[in-house]
Amino acid sequence: MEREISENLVILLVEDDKGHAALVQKNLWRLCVDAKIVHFDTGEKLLDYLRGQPHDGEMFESGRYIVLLDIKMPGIDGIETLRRVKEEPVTNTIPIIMLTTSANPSEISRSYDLGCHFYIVKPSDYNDFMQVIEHLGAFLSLQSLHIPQITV
Amino acid sequence: MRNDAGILIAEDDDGHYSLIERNLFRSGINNEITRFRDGQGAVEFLTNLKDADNPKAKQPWLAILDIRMPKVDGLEVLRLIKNDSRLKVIPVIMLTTASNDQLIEQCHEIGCNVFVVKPIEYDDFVASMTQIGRFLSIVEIPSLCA
Repeated sequence: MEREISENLVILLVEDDKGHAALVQKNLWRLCVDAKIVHFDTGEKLLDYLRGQPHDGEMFESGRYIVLLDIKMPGIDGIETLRRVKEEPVTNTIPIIMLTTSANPSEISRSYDLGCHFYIVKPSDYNDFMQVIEHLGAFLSLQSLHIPQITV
Repeated sequence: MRNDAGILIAEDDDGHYSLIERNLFRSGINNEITRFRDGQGAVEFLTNLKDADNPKAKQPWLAILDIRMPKVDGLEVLRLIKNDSRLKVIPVIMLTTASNDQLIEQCHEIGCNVFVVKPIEYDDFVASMTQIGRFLSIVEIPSLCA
């Protein structure tokens, strides 16, 4: 059985704030050293990529993926992006973790209702934010974690 | 994770259960745990949670399920949660020694939130539970659907 998850794991980071994206990327890289991270600054770009359009030279192909999804973004928001990823049979088992500044209970409920796997609020304090990313990265690096294989 | 969130654990093995409980606690999770030794107890409890008047249905819940259990297995419990419009928002962690690919795929299909294979080595199991606990401390758990 395939358990060396981080070896072929691709993290799809959807985040319009360049500063946040850089922080998340830098700190996840440190922890999930073997995972590839592909960054999107809008939900549309993620959806285009999942439909087969190359993004930064990367193609969506069979493999293991995790989406880290911001909510407040220009164009379609993270919740609508989540809904569309979940309604596509090819992509609906990709784990989606909402990573957002919004702690609004109705957005939390709506996201779980649409099938997000987890919902994480980004703390506004820099050190707290770093700690959250560290715990997230350590979790994603767990050897015992099984991420679904997606077949394109 | 909100302090008022309840954790449902269905685990028949006492040793595994105490390891899970102890290490969640050590990683800062001190939420109330409701434990069942078989799937049937969990199914009865969850069925009661569908009743909006049940005081326990007003708090958020998280479930940690073993697969191989007496009477009703974890897969059935997962199905009950994910096929119910009110309960489906409960994040479910499948934590099991079963490492059958088909079973794992089935759990993903039904919609488990995380699938973790219990490490065989004691130290690895402890480390995994600690990481899972730390992760749970940063996630938001929703209230059940109205």
